[in-house]
Amino acid sequence: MNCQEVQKYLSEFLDGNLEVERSQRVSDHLAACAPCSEEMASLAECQRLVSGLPKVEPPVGFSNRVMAHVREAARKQSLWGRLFLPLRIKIPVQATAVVLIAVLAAFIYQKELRQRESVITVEPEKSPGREDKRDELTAEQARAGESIPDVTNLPIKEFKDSAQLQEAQPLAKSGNQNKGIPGRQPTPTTPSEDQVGSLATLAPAPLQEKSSATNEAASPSLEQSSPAAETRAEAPPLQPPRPEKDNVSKDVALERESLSYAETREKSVASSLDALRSGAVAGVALPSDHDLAIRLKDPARDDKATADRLETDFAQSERPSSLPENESKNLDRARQQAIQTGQVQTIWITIARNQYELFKKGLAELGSIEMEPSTPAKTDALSKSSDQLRIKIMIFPPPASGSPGPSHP
Amino acid sequence: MHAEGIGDAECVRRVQQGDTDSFEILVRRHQRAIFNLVYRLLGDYDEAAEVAQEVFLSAYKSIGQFRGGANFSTWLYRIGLNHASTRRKSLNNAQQRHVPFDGTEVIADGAVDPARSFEHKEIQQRVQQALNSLDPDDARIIVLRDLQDVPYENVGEVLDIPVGTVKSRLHRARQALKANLAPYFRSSRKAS
Repeated sequence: MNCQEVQKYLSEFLDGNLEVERSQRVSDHLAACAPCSEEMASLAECQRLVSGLPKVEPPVGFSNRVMAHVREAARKQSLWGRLFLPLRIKIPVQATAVVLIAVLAAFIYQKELRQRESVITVEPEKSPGREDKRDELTAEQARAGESIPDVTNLPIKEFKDSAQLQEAQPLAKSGNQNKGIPGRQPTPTTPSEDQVGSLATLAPAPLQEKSSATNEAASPSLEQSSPAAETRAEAPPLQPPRPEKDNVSKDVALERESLSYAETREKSVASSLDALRSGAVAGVALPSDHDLAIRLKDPARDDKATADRLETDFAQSERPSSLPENESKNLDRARQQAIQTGQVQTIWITIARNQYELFKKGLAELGSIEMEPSTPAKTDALSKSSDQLRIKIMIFPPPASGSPGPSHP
Repeated sequence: MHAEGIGDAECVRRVQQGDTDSFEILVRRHQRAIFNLVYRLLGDYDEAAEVAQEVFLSAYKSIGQFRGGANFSTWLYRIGLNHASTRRKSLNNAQQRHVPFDGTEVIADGAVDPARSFEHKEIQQRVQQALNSLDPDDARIIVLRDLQDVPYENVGEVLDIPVGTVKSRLHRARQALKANLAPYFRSSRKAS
């Protein structure tokens, strides 16, 4: 056995763990080899020093302190054990985690579902008063991003991306070349076909897309048009374009006046539909039954008395059913804004069906009604079933304000 | 305790069935070994007391997982080594480690001559320093084998390595300790 081999077995030799024969051979080598013997002595010294380290006693009361902690832990465990140990059910941590994650996922899914349902809300008072702001595309997009958390899940074309909007522009422009009305603001919040389809699932009577030629014709200033108007230009019309003759419009209006009051029996259905129609769905206004464009009188002549008179007239007639007070205020506010800003204001007003002519008469005192579609925009079951009319009014500032104004068809 | 004669396995079984008092038998039986193991690995009495307490508490909390495949002492040593290693790392990181010298060794040594006692004390301090400066794996195997006198097979179980590896690693650890202690051999020989 050489020195290298002996070095390898020195530790075991020191512990007395070598076999007798090998131990004897190592012992013989150590007796003859001074370096290996010295190495052996050093290792033995090391072992002696370590094993000679005194045993240290634990602190006094160590076991009592340990047991105090142990009993405290046992109490905590017993609380848990009361819940599970009596059933002899051992729930691994992983299984518990899986169950918790599943419950959490279900909760989040339910919450998401509720959020999606609550996106379709009715805002009866807000939409008409804010129409001037909605005319701007950027404001529309910003508000859509704020008010609707998950835009991608909505079946509303109003929130299409800019690429789709650009695709819609040529269509709108081509419509404008044919029968465009200069200065006419596009309907900013008219829902697209998809929107109507989605609303139809909520309403008993299906809504139909308004598809008049005038609505398809977009404004020359398309940068102010809303995405909804552009997507409407993209969507195919569900009904053929209406003729634009005033007399036809009047005939239809008279027809509407002669609709029987028996239909008001369907109030339970109509009231819910009216709620939908009078407000905005996810920030989108419903289509109107009538479109009116009015050019305000010159500010010099059109004093506040005119508006007051209009309001008084309506108040003296049948305000509750024809022009409610809040609608009258909205109209006045829009008129004032049109005068002050010189920009076209668009509002929606709901009146009683049989008050339409009276309302128009009063409106004529504010200015000249320069455009009225010959037929109502909507003649669907929804309109017929209701005794209310929803009228879209575009208020053009007086000629002195410099607005182009609508051209007579 | 009235049931000191009960073996570790029986005590463990009782504790597993909810008899907390039986754990006190195990604590009293193994506290000295665990405390010394931890103390020699950490080199600090107070730290060792705290860690040893944690070792027993951890053992109690996880005693349901002990299946009796190994000795309870082996299982307890393993917990002790893990806790001591963790604390040693944190102490090293905080650079708070210092060589203990609290007089316990002197009292236990029983030396009469003050000069000789002082020399013994110094040697023990050097040995502790040498242990602390070793690689943690080397320190563990030396403390288990040379201080606790744990058989090779049990050392292998505690460290979860084969016996052959225990032998080679022990040899390597002793060589490293010898290199650390070489300057003090002469004085230690004189002292002894």
